[in-house]
Amino acid sequence: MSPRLRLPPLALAFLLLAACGRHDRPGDEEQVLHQGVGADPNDLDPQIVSSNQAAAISMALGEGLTNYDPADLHPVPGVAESWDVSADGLAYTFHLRANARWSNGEPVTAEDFVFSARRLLSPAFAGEFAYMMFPIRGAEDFATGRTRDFGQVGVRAPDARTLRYELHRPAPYFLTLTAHWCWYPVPAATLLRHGRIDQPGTAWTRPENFVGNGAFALKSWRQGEGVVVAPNPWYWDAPRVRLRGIHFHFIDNPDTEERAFRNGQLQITSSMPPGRLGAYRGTPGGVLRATPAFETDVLYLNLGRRPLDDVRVRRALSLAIDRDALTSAVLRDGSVPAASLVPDDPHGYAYRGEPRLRFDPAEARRLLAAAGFPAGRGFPPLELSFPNGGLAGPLCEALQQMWRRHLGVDVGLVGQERRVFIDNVHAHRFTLSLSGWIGDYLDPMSFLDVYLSASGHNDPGYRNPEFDQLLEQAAGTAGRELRYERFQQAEAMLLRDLPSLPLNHRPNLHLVAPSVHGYADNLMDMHPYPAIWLESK
Amino acid sequence: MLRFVVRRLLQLIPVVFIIVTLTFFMLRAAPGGPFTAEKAVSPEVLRNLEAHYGLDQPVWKQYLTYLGHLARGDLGPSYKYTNRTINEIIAGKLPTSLELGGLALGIALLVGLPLGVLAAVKRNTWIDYLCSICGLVGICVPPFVLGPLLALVFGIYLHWFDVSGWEYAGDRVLPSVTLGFAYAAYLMRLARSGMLEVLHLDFIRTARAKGAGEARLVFHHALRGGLLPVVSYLGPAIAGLLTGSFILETVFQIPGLGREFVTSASNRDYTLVLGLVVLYTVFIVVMNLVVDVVQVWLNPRLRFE
Repeated sequence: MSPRLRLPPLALAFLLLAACGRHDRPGDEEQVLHQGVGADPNDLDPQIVSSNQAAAISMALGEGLTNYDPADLHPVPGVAESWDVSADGLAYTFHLRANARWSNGEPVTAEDFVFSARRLLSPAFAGEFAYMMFPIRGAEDFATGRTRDFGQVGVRAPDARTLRYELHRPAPYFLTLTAHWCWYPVPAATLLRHGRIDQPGTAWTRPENFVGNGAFALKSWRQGEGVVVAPNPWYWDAPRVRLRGIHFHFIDNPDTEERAFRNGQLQITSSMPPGRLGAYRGTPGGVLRATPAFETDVLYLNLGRRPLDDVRVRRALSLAIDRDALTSAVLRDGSVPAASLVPDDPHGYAYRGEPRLRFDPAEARRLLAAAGFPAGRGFPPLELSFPNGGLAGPLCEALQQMWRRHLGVDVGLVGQERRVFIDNVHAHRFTLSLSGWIGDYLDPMSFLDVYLSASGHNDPGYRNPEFDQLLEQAAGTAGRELRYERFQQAEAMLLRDLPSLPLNHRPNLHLVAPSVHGYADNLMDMHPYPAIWLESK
Repeated sequence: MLRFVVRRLLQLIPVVFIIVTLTFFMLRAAPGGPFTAEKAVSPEVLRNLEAHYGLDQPVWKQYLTYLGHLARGDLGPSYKYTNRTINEIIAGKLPTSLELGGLALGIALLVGLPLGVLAAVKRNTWIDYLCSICGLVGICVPPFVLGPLLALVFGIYLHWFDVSGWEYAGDRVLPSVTLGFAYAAYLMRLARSGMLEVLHLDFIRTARAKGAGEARLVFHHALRGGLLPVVSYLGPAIAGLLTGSFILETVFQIPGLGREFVTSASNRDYTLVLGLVVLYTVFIVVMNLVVDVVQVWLNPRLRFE
């Protein structure tokens, strides 16, 4: 057969395959949601899962004492149907529902929560999020190995439906902490069949073994592909759950995910390629969700390196940054310029004091001259390091340009592979670094405690006993108004001293199909599944 | 020939050993580790994690432990995916990569070889020029351009295929065509130049003078020699194809090993990197062996040493 005759059969084969190409997967009609959740999660164990995107799966499979209200994120009852707080704010007593059950029908008891706390805090378990339980009395001592006796830790189960936490100081945000997935109960009986209480990474999270207390139960988990969950008939609020199934797809490339969304394969994406923002902004129908996130991109300044130890130099650097130009011309990914460190919470804390971050090149030049470097003369060359990838490079180039133009100061750029970069920053091997911070729980503490002298996350090396004292006092204040007032003062101190220069707040970016209802935008990007349903045509 | 094959397979052991050793120590020398994260874990947690995975032992001891497990075929636990072993990850994803690579190879051979032979036989005609242009386009247009383009046209616009995933039979089409097209272009050019070389040799002229028809000349006499460059190229190419293509798997969300090659390094998942390196080494050595055997079969002037 001559070569020429072989081509039509190939084309025929192509067309035949095309006939079975597209599949009508269950979707809107069957109330099955397809959601992209980024890269493969490292585990489905709620006390191990480390990415916020993968946490969406944990939130379908489990539930904490409290949940977030999707609209304004205030705590609503979850496994706990009610709670009492002592007058001094140090004791929280939760009353669990009688009908709270695991996906195998067993009741969820207070003892399950004690077990889970013990697991997360066990040193051998090496839980990344153990620190979230440190407001509990004795928790930090147990987690760091200073005491081996878990009886010292302030968590008790007086009876099967009563759970009591004792804190070592008031934590008004405690009820938002209990909604975080690392506080979810884990099924003791199942877990102990596959390993010890403090043994991470056992087989209990495999689909054939997994047991959870959430609205959905795990059906399958295929690496590189996705997770499939189906409604949990034992869930206490099962009648309210309208979705009949969720397929979580592991798509880590935003462009691939966007194509899948356009092709109708997904109804919700985990993110968006920034380059396509313009295209979606134009289209009506509310498909693009670009809403403020509880996140701030900052420049860390190594306070141990001259001349960054001079606050006038730090202020000059900050005042010479045109944050509006950065977000509107360089980033163009929906970021908003930062006027302060902690992102505004429309239902809670928002910084309203002075100083605020602004662009004032004349004042910047004046400060730099006062510090001994008029027009940048004599200013030692500095280095700005950033992790390779995305818009970090262009952003740093823009900063370099701004400082050169407005201050006459030369800053060299060093792009590093992500882990090399992180390693260097944690070891204080940097001068300026492009970093960011996401708040793990909805309270200014989650941003401000980074700058405590004793904090392990204090990369700039900021040591200010006055700030430590102010923040501790604010943290221990029970009344909301006074507490926020004290936080304002603490944040004002950081904005005067500028151990880091806040740049912008990134947005939560999602594409959501018009058929999805009940997906409310909020600061923490939490979307409880019992509220979501699909409209079929 | 059997002695030759056995000897080459035995050489696999020192080769794997050297590569594993180099990779092991290079990984340890790279800054950052599997637990380096933006929010630094506390020193206690880090200590406990390292103890759990045996990373607190001296490096030479870890190395020997790893070699011991490797000899038993145990590639260790993953540092990133906490409840899976490397053996499981590879066993789960290798079939997908093999399937994708096999399909792409099939397309490349079915399209590239015949066109290359045709171009050589019809040298300097419009057929030849057309094939050469297609070949050049195939080499110059990278998969990360062609892939999304095909996805856009055949998926989003024409609704013939899904644009990502590996669940249904139809999902195989776009990725294997994208990958196959690139390799087909290379094969076409190699086949063409190989055939051209052989077609101008004396023995072809003699055969033609003795009255052999064009078809017999091409297929019976020239093809064996003409495909030699193709065979040499195919050895490492197949090894690469079978272990997955990072770009293609990212563009089409295919659960293969290609992506793991890259992400495991940036995750500093030491055991996964080592496991994949061992796998790739074995593939390359075996494929090179196959290539050598096939070349001896094709080229009567070669002998097994």
